[in-house]
Amino acid sequence: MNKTLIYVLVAPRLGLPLKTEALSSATRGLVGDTAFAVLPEITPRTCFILTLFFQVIPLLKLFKKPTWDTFIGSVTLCGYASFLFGWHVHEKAILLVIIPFTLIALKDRRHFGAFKPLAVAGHVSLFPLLFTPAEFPIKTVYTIFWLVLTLIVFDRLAPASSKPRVFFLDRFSTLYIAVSIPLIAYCSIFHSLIFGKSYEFLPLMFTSSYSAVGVVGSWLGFLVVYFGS
Amino acid sequence: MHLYSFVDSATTSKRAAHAAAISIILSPGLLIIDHIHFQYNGFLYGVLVLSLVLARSKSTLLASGLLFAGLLCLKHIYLYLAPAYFVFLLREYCLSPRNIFKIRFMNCLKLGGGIVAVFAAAFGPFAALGQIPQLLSRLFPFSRGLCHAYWAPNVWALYSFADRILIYRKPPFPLHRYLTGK
Repeated sequence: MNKTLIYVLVAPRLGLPLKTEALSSATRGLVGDTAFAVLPEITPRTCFILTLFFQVIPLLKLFKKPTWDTFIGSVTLCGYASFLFGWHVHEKAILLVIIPFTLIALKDRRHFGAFKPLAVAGHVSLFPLLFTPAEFPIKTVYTIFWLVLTLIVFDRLAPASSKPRVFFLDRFSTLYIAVSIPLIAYCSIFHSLIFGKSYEFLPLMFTSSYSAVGVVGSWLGFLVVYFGS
Repeated sequence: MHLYSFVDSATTSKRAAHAAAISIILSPGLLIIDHIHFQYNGFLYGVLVLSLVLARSKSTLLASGLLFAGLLCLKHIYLYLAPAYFVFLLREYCLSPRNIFKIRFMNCLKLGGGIVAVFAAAFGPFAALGQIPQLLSRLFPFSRGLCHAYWAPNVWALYSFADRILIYRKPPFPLHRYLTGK
């Protein structure tokens, strides 16, 4: 939530002008072209530089200490960087992060702690890809079943870490997982009951903002674990 | 199948490796985007996992690198992970483990030659037909917008969300007016 908060607090004070043409366009769900009304535009060059920057940092450690675990960790972090800062990223690219991460998630409880919000956020963010009512039961029931089973089994199997855990990260992931329940309920059931067909972009916006917080949170958590071990 | 080789290669805890492998196989992500959505992702991720696992043992490093090169040709989304492969193979396969200034030329030649061969096989036909510019514009769609239709949950989604909220802001707290005296 940090970035949002910063912009909400800072942008008005900077007196950034409101671009009126952007008000009517884009980012309402289905349009591919994005225009910002208040904040500065993002160019492909900005995306590229940010992505490269956050890929190079973990790679420096890999170069110094080339073990297999570090390698998988840096593959995961490269996936994170390009997913978070890339241009025109598709939701399914989150699997580029989840699948390598699964291979080392059970290394110890610190890894597992960073994995938890990612597992929830990554899969919830895929929900809008299947949008017909007929597909709703299978995607929801199966995903929740998988999440519960995986989190319980992983929780039993992950060995304790030799290093102390990050207190904040633990609380964050528990709270985060708890919030997902009302969110899924709202997006899939209550929204259409309250608003009917109008404001269709709202559930999409909530889902992706919620997932973005989770992915960014787990990224920061894993960066701490990666450089701390 | 490839996950089975991961289980075999796990030395520390077989139970943990089994659990990880099963969780990937049953992943709802694969169910949603592959079995229902499109694009053969399940098969491609199988190849990725195999390549990652092959990187675990020194004797199969070359195979891991070449497999990844093949994977890149199948789907360029894996380019995102290529920097990690580059550094790892450079350090573990092309440079001497003791001294990073000693280059193992024979290994470099094998890896480089192999990668060039894989890419030539994949892109050769397009080059021969003069279709490379068309290919590149399809692969790297910079003419499309910053965010994908549904906003992938990344930093730009938070950025767009902030932007949407700022539209509805009340007349801003006029701090800058006090500061500038206007």
